[in-house]
Amino acid sequence: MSEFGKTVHARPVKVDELLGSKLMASLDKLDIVARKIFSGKTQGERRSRRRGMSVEFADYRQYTAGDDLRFIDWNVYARLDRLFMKIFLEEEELTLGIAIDASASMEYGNPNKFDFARRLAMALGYIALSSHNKVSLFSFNDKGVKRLSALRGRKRTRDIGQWLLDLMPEGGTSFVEACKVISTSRQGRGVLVIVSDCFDTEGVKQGLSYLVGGGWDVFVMQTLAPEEVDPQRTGLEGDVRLEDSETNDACEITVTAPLIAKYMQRLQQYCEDIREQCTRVGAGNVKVSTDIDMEQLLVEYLRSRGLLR
Amino acid sequence: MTWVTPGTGLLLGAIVIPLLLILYFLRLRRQPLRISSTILWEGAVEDLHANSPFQRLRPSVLLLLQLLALLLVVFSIMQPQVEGGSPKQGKHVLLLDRSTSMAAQDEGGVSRFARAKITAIEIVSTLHGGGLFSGSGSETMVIAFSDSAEIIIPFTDSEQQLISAINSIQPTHGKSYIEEALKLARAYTTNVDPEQNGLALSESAQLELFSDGQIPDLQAQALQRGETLHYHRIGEGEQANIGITTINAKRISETSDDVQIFLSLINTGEQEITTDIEVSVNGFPIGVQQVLIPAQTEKNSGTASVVFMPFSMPSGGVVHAVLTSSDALAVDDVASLVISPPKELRVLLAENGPSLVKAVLEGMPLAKLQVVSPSTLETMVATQETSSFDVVVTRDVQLEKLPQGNYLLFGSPPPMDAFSTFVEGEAQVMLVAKENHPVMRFVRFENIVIAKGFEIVVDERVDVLLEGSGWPAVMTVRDRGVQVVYVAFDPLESNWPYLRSFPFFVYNAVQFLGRSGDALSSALGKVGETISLNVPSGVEMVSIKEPNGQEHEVSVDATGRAHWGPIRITGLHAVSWNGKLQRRVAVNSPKGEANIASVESISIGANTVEASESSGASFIQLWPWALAAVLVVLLLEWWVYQRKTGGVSRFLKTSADNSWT
Repeated sequence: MSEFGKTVHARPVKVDELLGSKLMASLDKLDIVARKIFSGKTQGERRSRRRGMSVEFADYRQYTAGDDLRFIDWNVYARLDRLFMKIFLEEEELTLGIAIDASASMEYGNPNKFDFARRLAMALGYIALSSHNKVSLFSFNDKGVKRLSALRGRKRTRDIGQWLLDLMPEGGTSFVEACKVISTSRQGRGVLVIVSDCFDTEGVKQGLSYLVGGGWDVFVMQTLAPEEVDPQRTGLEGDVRLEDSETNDACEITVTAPLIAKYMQRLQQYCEDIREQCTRVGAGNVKVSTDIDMEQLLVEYLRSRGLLR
Repeated sequence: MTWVTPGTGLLLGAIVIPLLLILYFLRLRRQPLRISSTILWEGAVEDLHANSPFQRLRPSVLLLLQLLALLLVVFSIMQPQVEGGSPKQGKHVLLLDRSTSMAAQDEGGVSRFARAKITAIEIVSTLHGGGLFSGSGSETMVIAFSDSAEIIIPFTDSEQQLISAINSIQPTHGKSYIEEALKLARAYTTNVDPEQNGLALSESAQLELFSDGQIPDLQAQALQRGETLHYHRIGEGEQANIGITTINAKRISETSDDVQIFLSLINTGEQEITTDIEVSVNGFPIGVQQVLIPAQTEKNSGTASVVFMPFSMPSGGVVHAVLTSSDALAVDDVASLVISPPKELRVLLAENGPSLVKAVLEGMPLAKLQVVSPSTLETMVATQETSSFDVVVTRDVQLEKLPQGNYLLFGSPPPMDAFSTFVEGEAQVMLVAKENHPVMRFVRFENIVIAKGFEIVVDERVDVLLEGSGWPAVMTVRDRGVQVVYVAFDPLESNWPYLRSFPFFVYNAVQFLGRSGDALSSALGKVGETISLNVPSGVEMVSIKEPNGQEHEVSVDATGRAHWGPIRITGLHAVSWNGKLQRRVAVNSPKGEANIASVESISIGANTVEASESSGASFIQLWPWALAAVLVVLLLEWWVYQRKTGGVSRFLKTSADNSWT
């Protein structure tokens, strides 16, 4: 068996290895950005759809019996001789959902795609908890969806880490089923970041529809290993028999420049399809190679893409 | 078309072509590699989900080109050749005439010898139809002959070796003698059965003679039983030629600087020819004469003699004579002569008793004559002061040793190994003398009577010039740089001083010793002969440069002489030692080679052989063309493969287009 693509980097076994203190310090100033306004369950730091008790004026409405007299606008009454109620915006918490693809295809590459997904989830979760948001985590494969729901407060960061460490990538990808489950869950509505290699075109298309329909502000992070982004540069050569880690399908190739060129062409087309699907349903999309620096990804790229601020 | 090695080619084809096809049928054993997903690779790979060891053979340009290349290789290994006559069997001896007349240039400016080589190579190609892996069944030997014969290559069936050997033959300017060549050929071809009274065991070889037919000794030869001769006539008939047959020079007197040049000319044409002859000395013309050379008669060639007026030549040099009109044979239009400068000698004399030799030496034109006492001479010998004299003359002086030099000794025997034992010789008269030796020239020895002398026992190095009735009287020897003329008696013990032959003898001996035995004519060599020179003591190597620029290093032998030979071409041969040009030897065209008319038939013994054009048609080998085609097909295959697989640059361009976060 060839060593090409086999993970040789150190695997995380402790929570601290998922999120280092240096990275943690640089993430403290970040916050999750939602492109939509969601309704939360408890008060928080974000503007809610609901009218509430914040200091920010929203609208007027006519007084009806039983309304709180404290919110009558007496100045308007003086001018118009009619009673109007001042309505203020409500500020509530935001839910950040992080869905990790835990299929066997993620267990690949240098750095490993699944490890990258776990570190990214850990970082995003920390940012959300630090910003007084609610965090829900999902992992999915063809065996179902695992979840860790409704975490609040920075002290739950370690719980996220431990949950992530306990995950094992296995089985196939069942993107549609996972999206169905997530969309129908009662975990509130908010931003859902999906970390996956998206090797399921039809599944991605259908699954995103479920999620967006369910009210999530979806952000797809298509994660690929350097060996998938540029096979020849990373050492793929000769006559090899490629075996699919999920389906065990075999594909025999002789690595030549035209074949590599054709692969690159198809990869580009594939990523373009994913982006198009995301755009069509209003989901955000970013393709990322696992050899990127995590701090750079979070502080620069995801801020520029509007997921963080 | 015939095939030389069809079996080898078919066997190879039967092995390699199925192997190539199997390689295309067989699938590669690939290394397994587990990846995330194969969906992106599927479109690029056509043989997905196939598990059988063989795949369907699809049309492939590469396969067709490779098959074509293999077929061409097989084709070339079978060595096809276009029919031009079947290869000859048996043994053949190619006899190439490389004498002077073969240097003649016929129409087209190509020499006859070059044409002979071309014709011989064509014959070799005809005789040897063999290929890479099999012989032709014919064996051929090549002999080149002029004054002497030389086996260029013994019997072989290798066409390439034969062609290479023929190309390596160098022409000479010697005479044409075929006898030695025939002897050599027969020595290699005749296998005699001793039990059959000397009858030949195998068939005699076929002789292939490449010549213009001008071979003087051919008539005296005879073909042996079973021997056949093909005469390949080279050159054109009725070719007129004029040439210089003789060049000679004579000094008016020994004391004079004046030299006179004599020339003999020949005309082998049927028309009389008027030509100019120019003589130059050391490159400076000294005279031109117009001369009419009559046409040849039925029996003899036309000849003419030319004498030039004497001219002063105090320091010697090279006389060069050139016929200004051009003809087919340029070699004999030029002749050279090296003239030595007159040399006055320095002589040292020591005598015991009354002076006898001194009176003779005083009458000679010497540069210096020094007379010393025997004791002084012994001192001079010890201190090697004698080396400044050309000749040391002693009478009745016993020397302890002889340093290198020239000595005329009377009486006491010289201290040399060559003269091993001696006793007192009794009275005798003279019997035999070597009258041709320069020392004995004009010496009437019959009247000499000796009362007593030294009876010497000499070895083989000693050349006895005058033999008496009891013991040798006069002898000469040259050993380790010492040259001695020894008279084994005191002249005072004989009647010789009273005879006229005595001053002649002293004169000759001093001249002979002083000039180290070299006469004026010794600098004239002949093709086929050897250049032999006396070399001063201390010189170990001599360089001889031929007129064509080839240089030869020759070592000096124990007697102080250097020999090189045989002389191959005419012209001036330069001899040098110690890095300086010391002597030149002129070699002129031999007599008898002036007739260059190529004859249509030759007579060998009682047989007359007509000229034949060729011994058969030649084969045209096709395998080199097939191999060249293989190279072209392989180049095409490489191009197709590169076009199919693309280049590195194209790949780099593609990968650079992708931008990833």
